[in-house]
Amino acid sequence: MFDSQPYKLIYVQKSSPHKDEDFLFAEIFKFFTDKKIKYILKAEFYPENVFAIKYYAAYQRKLEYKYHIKTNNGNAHKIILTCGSLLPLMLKRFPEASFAINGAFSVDSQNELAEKIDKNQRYRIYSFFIDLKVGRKTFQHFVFEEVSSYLLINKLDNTDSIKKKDRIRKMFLSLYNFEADI
Amino acid sequence: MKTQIKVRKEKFEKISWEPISQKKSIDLKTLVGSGREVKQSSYPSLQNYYSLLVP
Repeated sequence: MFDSQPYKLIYVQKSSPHKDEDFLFAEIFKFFTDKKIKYILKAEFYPENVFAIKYYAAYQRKLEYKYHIKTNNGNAHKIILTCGSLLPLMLKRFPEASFAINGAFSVDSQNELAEKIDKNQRYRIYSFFIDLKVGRKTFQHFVFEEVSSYLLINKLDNTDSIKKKDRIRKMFLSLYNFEADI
Repeated sequence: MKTQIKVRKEKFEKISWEPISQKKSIDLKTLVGSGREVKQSSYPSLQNYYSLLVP
C-alpha cells in the first residue's frame, strides 16, 4: 500500500498566521496528483517546537470542512505517503522538531452526518502509516485515540518526553476550539 | 485473500456516522485522555518490507 513513490513536494512559502490562527508560522508546500489535482500541505509551527501537519485539496480551500471531505479519487495512500515525506525534509531544517497529526473526522454535508471523533477512519490509516514508516530511533510515539491524534516527540530535544507530551497536549487544548475546529 | 479483505474493511474502511449537530455539544477537553505511548511497531515484519521514512 505504501511502497509507491510519493508525489513531488514543491515548497511554496513561509507564511504568518491570520488573526484567527494560533501557530507562530507555517511552511507551505504543494503537490499535484496523477489527475493533476493540486493539494496544499501545511506544517504549522507551535510553541514547544512542534509542527502540526495538515493538508487539503486546493479546490476545496474555501469550504468550511476542507480537512474533513473525502475526494474519493482512490489515491489516498499516495497522498498520505507524500505528506509523510515531509518529515525527513522538515527534520533537515528543524532537527529537534516534534510533529502532531490529527485525523479529521469525515463529514457528509449532503446528509448532515459526521464521523465519530474517536479512532476515526483517517486516524486509523495515519496511525498504521506512521507505525509502519516512522521508526523509534528519532521519535517516541504517542497516541490520543479519543481525539484521533498522533504525536511524535523528537528524542533529540533532550527533555523528558512524557512531560513534553503533557505540555503539548495542554498547549493544543488551550489553543484549539475543539468543539468546532478539530 | 477473503480474510485479508475483511480485515482491511474492518480496520480502515468502516465509518461510524452520527448527526453533525451532535458535534457541537461535545466538549473534547473532557474527552481527551493523557495519551498512550506506542513503544514498538505493531508491524515489525512489514517494516522489513517497507523502507522507513525516518529511522
